[in-house]
Amino acid sequence: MNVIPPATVTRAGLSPDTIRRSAVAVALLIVLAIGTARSPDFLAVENVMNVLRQNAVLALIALGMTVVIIGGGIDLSVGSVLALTSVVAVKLVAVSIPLALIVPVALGAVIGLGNGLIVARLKIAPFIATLATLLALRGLTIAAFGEETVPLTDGRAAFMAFGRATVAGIPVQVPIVIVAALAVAFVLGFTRFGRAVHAVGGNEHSARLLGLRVDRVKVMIYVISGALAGGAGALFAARIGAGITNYGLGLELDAITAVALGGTLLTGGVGGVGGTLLGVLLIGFLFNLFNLDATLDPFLQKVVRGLLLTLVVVLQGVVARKRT
Amino acid sequence: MAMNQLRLAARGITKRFRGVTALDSVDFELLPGEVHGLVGENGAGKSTLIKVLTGVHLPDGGTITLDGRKVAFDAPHRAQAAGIACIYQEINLIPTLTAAENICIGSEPLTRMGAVNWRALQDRAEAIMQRFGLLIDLRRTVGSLGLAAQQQVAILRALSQGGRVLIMDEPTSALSDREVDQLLEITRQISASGVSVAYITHRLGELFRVTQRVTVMRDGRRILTEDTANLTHGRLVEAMLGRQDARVQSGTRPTPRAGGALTVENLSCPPRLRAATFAVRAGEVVGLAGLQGSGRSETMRTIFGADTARGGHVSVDGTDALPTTPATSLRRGVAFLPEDRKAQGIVPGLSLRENLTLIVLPALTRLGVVMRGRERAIVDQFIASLGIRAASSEVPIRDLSGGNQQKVLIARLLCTAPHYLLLDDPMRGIDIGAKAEIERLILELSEAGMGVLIASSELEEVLSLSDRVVVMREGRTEAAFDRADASGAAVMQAIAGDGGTGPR
Amino acid sequence: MGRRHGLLVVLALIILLNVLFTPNFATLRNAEITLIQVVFVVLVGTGMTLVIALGGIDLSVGAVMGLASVITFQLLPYGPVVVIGAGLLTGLAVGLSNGILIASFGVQPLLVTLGSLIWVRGLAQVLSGGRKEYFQDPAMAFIGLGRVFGIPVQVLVAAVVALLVAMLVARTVFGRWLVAIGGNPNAARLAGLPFMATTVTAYALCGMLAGLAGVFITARVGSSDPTNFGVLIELDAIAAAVVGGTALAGGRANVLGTVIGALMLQLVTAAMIMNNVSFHYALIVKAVIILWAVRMQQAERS
Repeated sequence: MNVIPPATVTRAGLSPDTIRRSAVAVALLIVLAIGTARSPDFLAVENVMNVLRQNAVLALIALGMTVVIIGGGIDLSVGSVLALTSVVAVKLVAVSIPLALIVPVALGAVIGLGNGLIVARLKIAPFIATLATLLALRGLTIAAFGEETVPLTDGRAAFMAFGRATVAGIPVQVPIVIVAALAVAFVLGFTRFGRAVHAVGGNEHSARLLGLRVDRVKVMIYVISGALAGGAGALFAARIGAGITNYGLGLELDAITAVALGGTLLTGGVGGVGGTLLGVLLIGFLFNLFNLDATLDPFLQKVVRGLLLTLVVVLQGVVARKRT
Repeated sequence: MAMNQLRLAARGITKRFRGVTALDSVDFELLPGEVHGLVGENGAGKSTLIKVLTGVHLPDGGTITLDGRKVAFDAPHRAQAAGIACIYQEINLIPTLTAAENICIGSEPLTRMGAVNWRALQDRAEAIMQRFGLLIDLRRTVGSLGLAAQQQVAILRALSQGGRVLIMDEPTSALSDREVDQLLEITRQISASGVSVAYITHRLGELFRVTQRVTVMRDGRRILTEDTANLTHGRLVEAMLGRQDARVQSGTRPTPRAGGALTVENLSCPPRLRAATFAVRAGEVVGLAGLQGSGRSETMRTIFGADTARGGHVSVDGTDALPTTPATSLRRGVAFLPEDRKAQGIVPGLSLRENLTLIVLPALTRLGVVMRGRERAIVDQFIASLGIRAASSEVPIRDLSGGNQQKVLIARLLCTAPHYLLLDDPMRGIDIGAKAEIERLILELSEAGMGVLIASSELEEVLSLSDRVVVMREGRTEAAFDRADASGAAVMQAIAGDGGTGPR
Repeated sequence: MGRRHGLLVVLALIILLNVLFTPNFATLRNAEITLIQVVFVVLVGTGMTLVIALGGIDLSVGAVMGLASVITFQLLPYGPVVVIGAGLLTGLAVGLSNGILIASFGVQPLLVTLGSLIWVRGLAQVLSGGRKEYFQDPAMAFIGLGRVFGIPVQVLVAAVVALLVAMLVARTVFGRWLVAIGGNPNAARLAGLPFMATTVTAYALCGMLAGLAGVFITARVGSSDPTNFGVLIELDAIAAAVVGGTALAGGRANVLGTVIGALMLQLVTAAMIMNNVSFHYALIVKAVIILWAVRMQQAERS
């Protein structure tokens, strides 16, 4: 058996993947350091728990967004899904609490199915398709439930107790997010479907030629995103004690920022759940810093959010160009 | 030979597209473990044949048998499932996934619980790799591998699904010499393991290094199938291009005037352009002859600045012209007509007029506003002088025939009053009448002092138009002929490369 | 041209149906209201048409309106000329920033302008403390509600702007470069067309028009509102452009089609409201129209 010498020489040094993943961890540490310096309560247990609880919703949405973006798409409707499902959850608490948790997820999945079919069958670009869904959902939600906050009435106590619950001192939202993250990570990393998601996002044309069922993948990623957004809606309702029909506009952008910060390439094909969670923590603590520091204009947050997204997008573009 | 001894037998394959016959009753067969070369110029039908064999197209006529069984593939994945795989020039892999993942994608080994078994995946990939004696770092992403390694991964992927037939479509066009040696060795090992290989290339030398038989196609027909041992370069080229008895047309052409020149020295733009050296003087028509893949297009694109040169010199009328961009070249008086007018020439949504004046428009404006009168005047002028046939100048350019589109594109370049015109296969896909008109135009332009470089595989064209013929082979300028010495036979010999007396 | 005739026919149909079935539709007053309400989408949509023709998109236009509104309010004491100038400059600045990032780094326009959408809105809120501010200013009142020869000022300006931009596209070098680069980037490159300059100019113009729309809405409403002005108008603008015949893939710029598209969408929305259909159902209908229009475009191309 002949052995043919290797066609390439392995490069020494850090791979770009490692750099990307460590960057967000380093940035997070920097934010935590600055935070502690400026405000002694920053890393106090109470504050940390608060941050975790408040960002659980963003975390779930970002998990779904991770799947969609790795698959080469984008989902701008998740905020609107959350708004709708939060109200649905509130309405269902009167009927039964488990239903109030399950139906939102199912509803989100169905909406995601709609998105997926529009993208895969009608071949309409994801941003337009999900933007249209955003519009339609907003209309539907407000038309059906009015423009205000829909408070919990019956069953309030039990549902809200769930929202405020802790497990060994940690807010209940945290283990929920962790379980969801593990599930998504498993699907992405250990199922043929997950590998196909990476392939389709990496090069859709090649994926088709390699015999993968591209259309099916494209539909499923939106179903997953929708389902997670639906779950986030239920969780949101439990924490706030109400459903807000107007909420969520902008949440999808935070989710995209978290995903991109965490090292997932917005062009698709590369990324992971761990990075996304770190990205969510980074955003969560960064804006917590803003809130704690009375001298900083609270509206500055938005400016920073936008600049952060722009920066990450440009950086990813620059790095991609260097590669080719 | 009895059909059931053959691995693959395609008989009488015919395929028509909108009235054009792409394949005319073609026979093609593969013995088990054979490496069978397939050659022919563009338009010969090779790629259509491949598409039929891999299930992209259903043939209009003919039969295909695989290991004695009749088959018909109506989709690529069916052909793949049956064991016919193809690797193309563009690597169809997922660049963001590792080599091992690409090899196993879609059929990753699973644990008993149904999860992807990464250990087994790695092992499977390693096993396939070792079976063919390769050494690649399977943990690296395909995008980070060099082209040759990427190709090897594509080959392993193609074979991983129980390959019976592997079609290799111009696998060496972008490889270095050492990598070519590797690939040929790999091909030998693949065939030794029983896989039948159809090997498509423009580099004739490779045929003599790795194939047992060669089939030549031309104009949608099979011209010959012969044992490689009985072939010569010369015979191959003759079969590919047709007998070329053409002699130079009678009547001398005026000698090129004194004036500037476009000189090219050792120009390189790897991997397809290695070293080009020649000159085009003012008033001269230089024909760039050679097979597809010999570097003709790359030479022109590099001179023009559409591709970035890596080495060498270009000078235009005495001034250094590298590095350059299309805009700069146009300003310097060098204009380029690309090979593929649909993808790189016409703007399909715009009219004839708008396409024609695309480059020169700033000169027709005052304060940014286009002066309609002047624009129309120029357009009418060119419509008349080039004989462009169209209902009006406002017709969308995509409604024009190929020949008329080409004239519009040439007019676009002529608006800039270039000194040198680089035409890449300008007669491709246009009717005889338009061809003659464009030929006449080229002669007129050169008589008026323009230097013209024209690339073409049609020797007759090149010979009748050119004052000199430069032959390219495998990225290098090989030989140059003056008009007096350029006979069809001589040029073909130079294209073939070795005096045509035998295998390299 | 054939496309535009088709559009006009559909528009005529919508008008006809409304005349027949919608109460109070066929009044001069109603026609005027329609025209007034469509001014903002026409301005923003015109700019959006340029950017889409290039093959890109600008989602930050609504945020620019908000920012322009805030800056307008703060510069009121300096008179209408300064106010309008500042609005235009604001839009120009954001547009330049978008265009330069897109042209220099080759990043997807969608993502860059998503980022801009956030920070521009945030900037508007920072500068204004997140507050709406009401004011009384005669010059602004004229800009907002005044008339010239009986026609509302804003309608007149919007019409003139649309015409000017349509002429820009049809009659200037820039317009030709825009559709050539969007229509076949490879051919455009080989023809030596200036990619950077054309891209930056297109986004700059788009921003400026959004800035103007911001000044106008401030004048009309009599207040500056950093949070609500322009929200989701980018969708309306994209819808108007797509319905009007400008393909999302680039290569075509049908400005007058965008105006007709905007009118159509406004009439459909208004018709529903006047027939006592909730405004929010109108959103759903709008979404469906957008999807349908994009789908039609794609079918046309293949």
